[in-house]
Amino acid sequence: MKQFLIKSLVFFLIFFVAEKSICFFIENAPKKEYDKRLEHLLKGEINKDIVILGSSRGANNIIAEQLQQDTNKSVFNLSYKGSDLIFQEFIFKTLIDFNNKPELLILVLDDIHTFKTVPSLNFRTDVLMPLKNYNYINNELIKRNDKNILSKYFCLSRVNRNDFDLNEVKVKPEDEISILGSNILINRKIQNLTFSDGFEIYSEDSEDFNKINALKNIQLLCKEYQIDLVFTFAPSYKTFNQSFLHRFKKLAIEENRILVYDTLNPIYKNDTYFADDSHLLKNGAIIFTSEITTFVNNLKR
Amino acid sequence: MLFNSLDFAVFLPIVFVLYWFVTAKNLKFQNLLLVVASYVFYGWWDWRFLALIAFSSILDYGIGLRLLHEINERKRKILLWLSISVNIGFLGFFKYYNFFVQNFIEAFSLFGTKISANTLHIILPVGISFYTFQTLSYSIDVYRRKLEPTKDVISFLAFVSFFPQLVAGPIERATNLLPQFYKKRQFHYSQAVDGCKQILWGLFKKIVIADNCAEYANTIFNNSDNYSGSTLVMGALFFTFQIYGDFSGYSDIAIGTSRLFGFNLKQNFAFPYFSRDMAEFWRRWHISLSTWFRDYLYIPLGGSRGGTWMKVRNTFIIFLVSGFWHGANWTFIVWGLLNALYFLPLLLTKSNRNNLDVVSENANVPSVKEFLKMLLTFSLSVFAWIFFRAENVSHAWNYIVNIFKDSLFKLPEVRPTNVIILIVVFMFIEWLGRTQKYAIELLLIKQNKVLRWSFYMVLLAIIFVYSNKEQQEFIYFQF
Repeated sequence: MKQFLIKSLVFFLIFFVAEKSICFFIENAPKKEYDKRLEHLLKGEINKDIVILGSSRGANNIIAEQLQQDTNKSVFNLSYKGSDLIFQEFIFKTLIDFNNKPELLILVLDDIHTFKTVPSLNFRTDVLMPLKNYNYINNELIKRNDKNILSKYFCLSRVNRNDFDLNEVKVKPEDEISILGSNILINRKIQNLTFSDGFEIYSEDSEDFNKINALKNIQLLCKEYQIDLVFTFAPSYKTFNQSFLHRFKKLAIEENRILVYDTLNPIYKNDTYFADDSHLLKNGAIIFTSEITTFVNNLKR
Repeated sequence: MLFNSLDFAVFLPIVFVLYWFVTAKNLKFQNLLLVVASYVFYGWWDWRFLALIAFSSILDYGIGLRLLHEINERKRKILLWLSISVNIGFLGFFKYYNFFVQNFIEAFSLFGTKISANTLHIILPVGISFYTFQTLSYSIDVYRRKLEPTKDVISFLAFVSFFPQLVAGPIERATNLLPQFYKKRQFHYSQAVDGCKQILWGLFKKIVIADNCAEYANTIFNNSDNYSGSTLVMGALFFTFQIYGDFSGYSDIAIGTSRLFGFNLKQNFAFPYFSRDMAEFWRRWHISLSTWFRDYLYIPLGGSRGGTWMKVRNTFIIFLVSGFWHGANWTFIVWGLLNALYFLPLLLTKSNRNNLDVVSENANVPSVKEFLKMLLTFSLSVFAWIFFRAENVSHAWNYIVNIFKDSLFKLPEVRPTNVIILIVVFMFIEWLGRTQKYAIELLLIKQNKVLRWSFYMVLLAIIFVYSNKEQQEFIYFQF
């Protein structure tokens, strides 16, 4: 028995020491990434007056550089393509935990999909994975069952298969982001766009409670830290859904403002301004950003 | 509690220390500890079903004692049927009630009669098919006077609930396992090391092979209408390795864990994918279940003693019951039927016992003939697994039809290189160790310790890397 226990102990000790060599791959993982916004957040480098949060609607439709210039406020776009409200809440919490609080948060909503479970909107675990060398991120991954508790102590439990590939992550031209975090589209994704002018009644069925909760939490955080919050509906190549707006107003705290794009502006019915039915091209984003600029400048007064 | 969970990683050392350092001097305490540990292990999943195991155990213990003193054969038979009825009754209710009700309704609706019957929301107690068969074997063996019934209730409770094999086997016979609870266990270094190695290999099979294959098998089977024929073949192959890695991995962990406590369980898998015909496959796949059916169903039915018709009938009964044992779904019955059809030509030509040895036992590579035989047997089993994995028979049928489209000769859309490499390496190691109880039993045993330990550490490292997600349940838990 003694021999068994000693040999087992020695085996695991050697293993424990040897496995630490894997830390190299974990430490190297963030360096390979193209999008370094989350890492900047964790390092406390995003100290801005205005922050934009959202999915691709936030990333594609608002030009942070233009907004910064026209409002004379520092701006950063923290919108992540394909992210849901829960992920946006996480990004916002991280922003507040590690950086100076912003004056204004612009939260770009996903229209009728905002509270629904849709395949295109998720918690972007893949954004967190390369940054698991930060305990804060690793703890979040543990909380979400994407890592187990052993990852606190073993590098082998923390590392991912992708980390062993030392090549830099290649980025597609349509995913390139600007210095201030926006992802402006130049080329159309769909060639033949048809304006959808059907009237659709929003149904509260199959709303994800966690997403509604995330919205509540974002509002509470803004209240706690005295951050102005503006909910934003970006243009889509279809009739604006009033019925969802009605639903959304029930969930929004009164003091927070809601900005709906100018639904009467004929430009938003012109397909040359759209990359697809819910994302603007650069020329459309310029127009929508100027709408936001006017709104923000009016807020200042 | 899952073997591949952190809970078990904490549970096992605690029980090990208590077993060898606290209760080792007193056999009764040691057995009692195993009962308590086993009930904790099972109750971790759902404590309510502990009552079911306890009831089943006490009933069979009592029946065993009555059988000892009862000389009236009629009364003995009644006692045996009481045990069979209660145990199969529980199994039938929890596992098959809804299946029978639904099929009953559908059968009547074919004749235009509409029957309304309520199905129940029944939770299937984990491992019920395994421990039911284990306790049944006890009652039957005692009835047949092949086994002296135990008077030691603690040993009997420990035998039924022994945690390493409680929820997914191997299905142990009382004649093998129960006497091990009567004797004081000795700690042997070599046995413990062997147990650790088998646990390591079991975890590798489960976490690295089965769980990785499951990811792709699930994607392909769940969206089978959208994939090319070649991808569907890949899906069937992934499931083939998934089920083997999953189930034989569980058995390896169970056997290895038992060895840490000084017990010897029977081998449950003997490299079935290297079989040269389907008869050999069934001598090597889920051995404890196959032999259970052989001894308690096939032989009592007359086995192969009667004429050809009786042999064929008994073979079909065995395979159909075996399929049905796996689950209340027609897919399992078709899977059983298909295997019976595979077996039939061997039975009729009396060649079902041709391959009793290990393939290429004295060679490194098989002959071309052996290889082709293995390939054919493997292909037949892959085909049968499609029914086993499919949601229902029509899903399986569509899956097979979609395989034989033009797209069969296209490059598969799903071809994860890392998983394919892992499977190839895994099967290579299995091939090297095919004469042993488990693949790495003697691997590198003659090499120096540094090389051997390095190999174990690499295995452990790979397990760590692949286990960093939420643990996956074992497939056979649902049976």
